[in-house]
Amino acid sequence: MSTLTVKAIEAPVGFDLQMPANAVIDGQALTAYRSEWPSRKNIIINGGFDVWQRGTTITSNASANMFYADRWKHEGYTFSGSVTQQTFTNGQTDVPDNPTYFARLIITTNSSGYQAFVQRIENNPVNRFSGKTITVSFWIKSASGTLADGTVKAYGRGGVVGDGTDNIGAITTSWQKIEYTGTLGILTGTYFTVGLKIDQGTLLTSGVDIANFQVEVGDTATPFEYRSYGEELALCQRYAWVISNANGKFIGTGHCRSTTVAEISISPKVSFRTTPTLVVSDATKLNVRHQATDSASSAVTIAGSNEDIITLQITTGAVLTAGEGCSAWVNGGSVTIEYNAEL
Amino acid sequence: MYKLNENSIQRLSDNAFIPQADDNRDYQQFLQDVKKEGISIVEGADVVEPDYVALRTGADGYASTGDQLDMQYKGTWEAHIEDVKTRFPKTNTGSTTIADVPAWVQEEADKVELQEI
Repeated sequence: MSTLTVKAIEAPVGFDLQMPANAVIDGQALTAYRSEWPSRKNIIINGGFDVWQRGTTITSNASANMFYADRWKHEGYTFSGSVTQQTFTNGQTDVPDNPTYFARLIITTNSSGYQAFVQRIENNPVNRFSGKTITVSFWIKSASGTLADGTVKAYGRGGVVGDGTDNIGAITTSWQKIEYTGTLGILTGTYFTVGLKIDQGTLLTSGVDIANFQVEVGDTATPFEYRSYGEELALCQRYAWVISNANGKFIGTGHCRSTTVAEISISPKVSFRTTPTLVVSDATKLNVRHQATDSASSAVTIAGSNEDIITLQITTGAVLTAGEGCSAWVNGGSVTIEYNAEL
Repeated sequence: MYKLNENSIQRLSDNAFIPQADDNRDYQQFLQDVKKEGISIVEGADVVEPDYVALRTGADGYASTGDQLDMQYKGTWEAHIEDVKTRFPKTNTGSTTIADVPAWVQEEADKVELQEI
């Protein structure tokens, strides 16, 4: 008779493993596994602040609703300040698990209304999180001096998560881990929001530092889940794809629709959440190459696009030949091309 | 302020081109802004009438070089050139006018509820 030895039983990614309490094999009780999501547990994307497609220094001068590190955005009213990528000292142990980067939020004017540094978590499918108990955890410190309790609050702690209060206590210049657990209600929207909130009038002139932000289903804050940079970038690019310093880069091929309009089709690396908005920092630097001749664009727009294919319409002088092939590239300048499908 | 064009909505503050896609947050914000501030924040699309150069070199203008050589062989070339010049005279210098904002903009804005996007 053969003997089957089972070393461990693990649930596939995305599935719970439910064991009867009295399950035994050869007299040994089975190991109890966490009954919530055992891997891919961090619902937050770019919680380690590794991906900054829009640049590692984002400055606001009386603006609102900006995007910072990928997936992280401003919410609230106009303000002045910045969000920058900061680097941990290699080998530090204050924040465990060797994070590389953290984010620093500075607010120098804040007279219009509240400010928030948040991530909108996609609620897709719509019943994914309804009624779930979630735990939020992150590391935080003040860049200089102690910030009294209430200076920086946890956005959504009291309301969305139902933990009763947004306060997280005083923040010192030493890294500390903030954890809280609550239960989501029935969610019907396309997202729910977590992050930090700063009330109107409160300034963070030296800044507050944030690292290893994690939201997980369950009632316990577990160690931060690391993903490779490539995986994290791909997750971010469902919501935004930014081509920075595009000078000299070809961005797509297509055909001449008429003597003045070229249509360039582009397949994104990752399917977008929805048809994206296009922002080109300087459209005049886009060139259409047709029959080995380059023509500067006078306008660019997005046309006939969806989540999987983007078509740019680039207008040039009357130098193209309808029906012939062409390509588009960036000729000069530090042009940024952003496809934005954020929540 | 926004400007419509053939296939998208241009946000003039940052020159963003917004698709007419229900799940796009910028499109949602566009409808919210129209509902809150009125249709006057939207300008209609440019209607461009091409000039004679674009028309003569366009699909209805001069034939391809090969076809024109063939016309020269057959003796129809001068008539072809004359026809194109007559149809698209040099007096046609083109023009750009602004179309009215189509009704769908206000209709879609009326459907949304004001909220923070």
